[in-house]
Amino acid sequence: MSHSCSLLAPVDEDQEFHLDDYEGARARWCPGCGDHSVLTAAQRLLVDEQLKPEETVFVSGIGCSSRFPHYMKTYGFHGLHGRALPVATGIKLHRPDLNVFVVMGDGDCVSIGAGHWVHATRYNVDMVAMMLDNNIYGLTKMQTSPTTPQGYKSNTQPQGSWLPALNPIEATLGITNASFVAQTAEWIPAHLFATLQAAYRHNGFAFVRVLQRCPVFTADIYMDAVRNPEMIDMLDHPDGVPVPESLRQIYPNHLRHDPLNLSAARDLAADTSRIRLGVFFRDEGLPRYEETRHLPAHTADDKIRILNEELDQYAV
Amino acid sequence: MPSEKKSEELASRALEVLGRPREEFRSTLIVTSEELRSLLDAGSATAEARAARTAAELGAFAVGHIDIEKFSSFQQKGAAVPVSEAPRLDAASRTLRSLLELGDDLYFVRVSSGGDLRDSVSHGLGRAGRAFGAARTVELARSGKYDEEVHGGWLDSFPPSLWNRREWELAPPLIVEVDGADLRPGGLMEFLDGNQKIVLVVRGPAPPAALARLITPGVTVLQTEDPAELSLVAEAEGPAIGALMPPDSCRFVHVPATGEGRARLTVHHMPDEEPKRALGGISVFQQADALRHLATLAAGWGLAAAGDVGPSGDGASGPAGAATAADKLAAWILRQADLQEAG
Amino acid sequence: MAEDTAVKTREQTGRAQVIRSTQCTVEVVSDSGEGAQKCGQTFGAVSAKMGNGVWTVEIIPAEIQPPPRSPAGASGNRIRIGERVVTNWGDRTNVCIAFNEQVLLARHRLDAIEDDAILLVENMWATHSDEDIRAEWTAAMEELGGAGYRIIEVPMEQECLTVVDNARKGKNMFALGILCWMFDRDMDLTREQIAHAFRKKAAEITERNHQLLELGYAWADENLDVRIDVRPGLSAENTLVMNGNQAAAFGAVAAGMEMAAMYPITPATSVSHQLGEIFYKFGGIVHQAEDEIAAVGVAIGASYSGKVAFTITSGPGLALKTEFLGLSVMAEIPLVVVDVQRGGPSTGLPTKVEQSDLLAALFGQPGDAPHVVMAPATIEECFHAMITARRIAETFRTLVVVMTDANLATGVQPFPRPTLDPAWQGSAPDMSAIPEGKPPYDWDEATGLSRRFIPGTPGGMHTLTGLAHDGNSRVAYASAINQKSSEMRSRKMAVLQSTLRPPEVYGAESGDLLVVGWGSTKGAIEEAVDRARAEGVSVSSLHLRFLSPMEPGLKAIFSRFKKVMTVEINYSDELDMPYITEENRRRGQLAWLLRAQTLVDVDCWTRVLGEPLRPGAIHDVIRSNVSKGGAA
Repeated sequence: MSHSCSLLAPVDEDQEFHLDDYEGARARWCPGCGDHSVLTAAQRLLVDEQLKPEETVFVSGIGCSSRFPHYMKTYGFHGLHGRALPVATGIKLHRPDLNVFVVMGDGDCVSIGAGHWVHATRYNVDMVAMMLDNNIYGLTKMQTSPTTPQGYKSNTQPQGSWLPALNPIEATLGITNASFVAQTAEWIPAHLFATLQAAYRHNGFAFVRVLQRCPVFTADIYMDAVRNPEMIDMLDHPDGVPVPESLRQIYPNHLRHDPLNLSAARDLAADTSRIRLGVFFRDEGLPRYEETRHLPAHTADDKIRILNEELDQYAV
Repeated sequence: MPSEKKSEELASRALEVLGRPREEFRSTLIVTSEELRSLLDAGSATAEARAARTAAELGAFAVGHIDIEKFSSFQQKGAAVPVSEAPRLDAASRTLRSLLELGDDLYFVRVSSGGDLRDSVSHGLGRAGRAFGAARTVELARSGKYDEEVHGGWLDSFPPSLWNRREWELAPPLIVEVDGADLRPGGLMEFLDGNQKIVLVVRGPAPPAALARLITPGVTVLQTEDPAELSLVAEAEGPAIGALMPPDSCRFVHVPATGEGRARLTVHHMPDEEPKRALGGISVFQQADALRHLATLAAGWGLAAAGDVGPSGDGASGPAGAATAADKLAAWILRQADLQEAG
Repeated sequence: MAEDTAVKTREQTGRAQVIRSTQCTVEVVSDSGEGAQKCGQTFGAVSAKMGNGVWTVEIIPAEIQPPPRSPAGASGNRIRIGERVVTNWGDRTNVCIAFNEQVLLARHRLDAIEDDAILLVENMWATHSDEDIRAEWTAAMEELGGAGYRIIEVPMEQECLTVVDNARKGKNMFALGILCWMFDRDMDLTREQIAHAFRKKAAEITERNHQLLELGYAWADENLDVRIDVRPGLSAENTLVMNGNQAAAFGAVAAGMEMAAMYPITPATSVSHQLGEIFYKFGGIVHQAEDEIAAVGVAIGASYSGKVAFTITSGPGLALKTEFLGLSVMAEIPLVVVDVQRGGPSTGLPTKVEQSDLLAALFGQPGDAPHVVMAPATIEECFHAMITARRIAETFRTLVVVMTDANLATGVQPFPRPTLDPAWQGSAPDMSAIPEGKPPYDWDEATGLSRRFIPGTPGGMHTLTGLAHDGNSRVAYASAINQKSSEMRSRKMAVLQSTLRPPEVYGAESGDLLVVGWGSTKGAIEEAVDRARAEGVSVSSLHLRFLSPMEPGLKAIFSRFKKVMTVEINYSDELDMPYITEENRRRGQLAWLLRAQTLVDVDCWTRVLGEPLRPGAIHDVIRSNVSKGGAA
């Protein structure tokens, strides 16, 4: 498809957008839910980047976090469980002029939608894909998800999760053509914002796992990390997310990590003894599917001319 | 004239390298033109004409199976355009089509000898900018805000001074043939915005570092002798300008910062000869001052050329070439210091 | 040639006897990989170019690499040619040329061969060094010999070896040469057609194939004494020859669509092969997704953001897509789905025709999901249906399922070349600013229609959702709102139905029997009706293009016939089977639908033989139903 948009658009081009220009319906997540913080960060990002609300689409699946688009005043696509990425891919293939953000939960992204997660990463279509990871199915009331810590009790596995938790960062880093893989936490707003901004500015598919507290079902999982910044390593690099000034003192553990170094990134991700926040990997030199498939536009008459030529081959 | 032939050839190479930005502008023209056509089809037609249009759109499968008149009564009416504004939309549509018919000529301007570079570029962009003028005319007409006094000339010329942010993002690329003696790029600063790509094909002797004055943090600036290197301009993010220079000019590239440890300014070649003669109205001092500017910038960023590889991955100057350029640059800086002491 | 299908005369000219016939069916069969299909396709194309009516079907083996010389491996082409337009694959074969006796035996056992057929068979196996093969040959020839065919042994291998080293690669062109002599084909045209078929290969290959063609022709001239004369009675001018999948692909291009998202599935995939060759020239993308679900998801994403997109699939894929299809209905995102039906359920008969997806296409989406289902009846209609489907999807903000089948998909037929119209591509989506306060589902109370808000359109920001929603696209569980939005989505189908015209009856407007069909069976049904009417049987037929909403006026039409029955390629019980009663009988899918829709006691006759219906079989059914039905 051709990548162009029409020039026909209203004249008021240089309008400045404020936070309230991006605020949709009042968010109805539980008090204390980490999703509120992600919403605020996203809205701040849109202000900062001055993205036009009508040229921005938030695509989601089904789950607590997938209510996200309703709370934005942009275009939103609240589709099917696990299927946000194909929809977003379709949008971006047809309309690369749009800014596309995808909001998924852990069940959404790495369970029912796992196939799409793998392939969307490989397509490397320019969009921000956030996985809001609270380690549990929240909307359906506490079922084990692939990222639930082993042994953690839920309604479906009351004896505790049987399997070791899936490591989404490590897995994503293993996918061919992954171009941006980052992790942040909703309880550190400055880092969250900086990470989302780096993801937005990245040319390609930016996968961001946001560690997210669920005050109702998994309140304890991130409790220690919230209380004790010592448990967290901040990956620090100007090509990734430099540790924000405001956090340098509070989070004393900084790891210098060049995001172009894939094998180092994989080692850092595989070691789950520490929580590591920042950009694990980033390479803008990788092929982007919507670019690869870019085609010029044709007028209707042009198409008729070409079609006639093609049909000549089937003419008797 | 052989030199003219050469510059034509270079211009067509430049056109080739700018294929992508050209295609993007053309695609924008096509999409806009098709949308406007639809608007005209939908807006001004009578019920009968709409039914005829519906019949055509539904095609042969509908024949005998669908009652066309009835079907056409159910379709969504397009955004209503006041009948009085129809001629204006027609005119806008004709403007877009005429731009499409211009083909690649849309992306060329030639500065006649002794002519003003800035004015020519403004003229060239204003010509392609008619597409923006046409789209704005349509928008104004359908919202009832069109004012002949203010907007009357927009279909004839829509210069960059009127462009908004989005239009700068969609800016048409431009290839400009200009005599070296007329190469006063200072005036082009105002056009380096959004996604504007400009390529200067320079004829005859030229100030060796003319484009150095355009180096600012957000702009890609290139001087080269090799048309293939223009891909740096074509693929740049943001505004970019490149010049195909005569032999023994400075060859350098400046790219906006892309991260730590990546060169922003890479100088591949410094001229063997210092400027000695005024070119047209460009004095020796002005020519030398541009060179000094380039050298200062390079020194200021601690990038004395050698070993620095820009994102171009630059194959044109190997390590040896780079070293020579570095030496020359160092020599230059020293000489400038001497001159100043002497002065 | 069977008496009821063809008018034929015999005459003797020179040495050869010439059988003149109005139509004739030819098969070329071999092990797969021996090129019988190329032989058959070329013969069909040349015949079409000469002005014969043509219908070509592939004979596809069940396995990708079946063992050589096995009946299960029979692969090739069946070409029916006629003086006039040929609308279906016909009955049994009149001429069969086989590269080994086992594949011939397979056709015989499938009852594919006419009693008085002429069979030409490669005879190298009779003297093969392998004793088992020689024994197989003897047994097979005995079995075939008992059937009364006219069998001619052809030393294909031996002849071909005079030109090529590997005869396996050349027999198909030799066989083509024989057919060209038998049917007096235009040899210049044939050479041209061969050159076209091998245009992507080296020039020597074309040349060698030309040599083999001449060789076959010369051999036949010297050794055969029977020729068949099916005179070209049509003008081949302004005609296209292609299969239904190609027609659908070109139709999608003509309709201005720019996104085909798909996942490989037989027999739908070749639509994407065709598109893969040409679509990019029109700015179109064939996106091969990671799975069927992603394919429809990408199509929906693209459609949502602008031009209507489409996806191509077959039964199992349609099943996987159902959740997204429901979303397209719920959120009113236009979408075109092409379902090229094959045998089912489950993996079923991947390469064979069936019409068993009808009810799944209509009702497969859990929840109430009203949408459009239409079915082209000919290869030509596969082209035009795409144009209409796109337009309906756009205007009604709805899902349109276009149902074809393996018969249309792989059948090759000439049809009038359409005069292309840029209007088919429709209008650019309306992206003009949306007036403040206008809701994204601003349903017209009477029609349920509303304007689509496309991203990029100023003032149209909203979140589309698959959850129950009000006019503002806000999630709403209130009962009144759900009732209302369901009503609005359903109303659109009634509105579309109000624009449909009652179907035309083929034959008399009233009578003893009305046969109702849909999809690819039209040609066979109408040929059977013609034969029966020629015998004085009071039968008519009717062919539906819109299955949802259903075409109007059916009850009135049905009431003018003593009996109404559907003829379909799907399964139904018959009353003489054990345990089957009027009450528990499972009927053909269209019959099921028509009974529900019209309360008329619609009977059915259906078969799932993995092949298109034969007009002769339908003819028999008509005869027995009219006499059974107590016709005067």
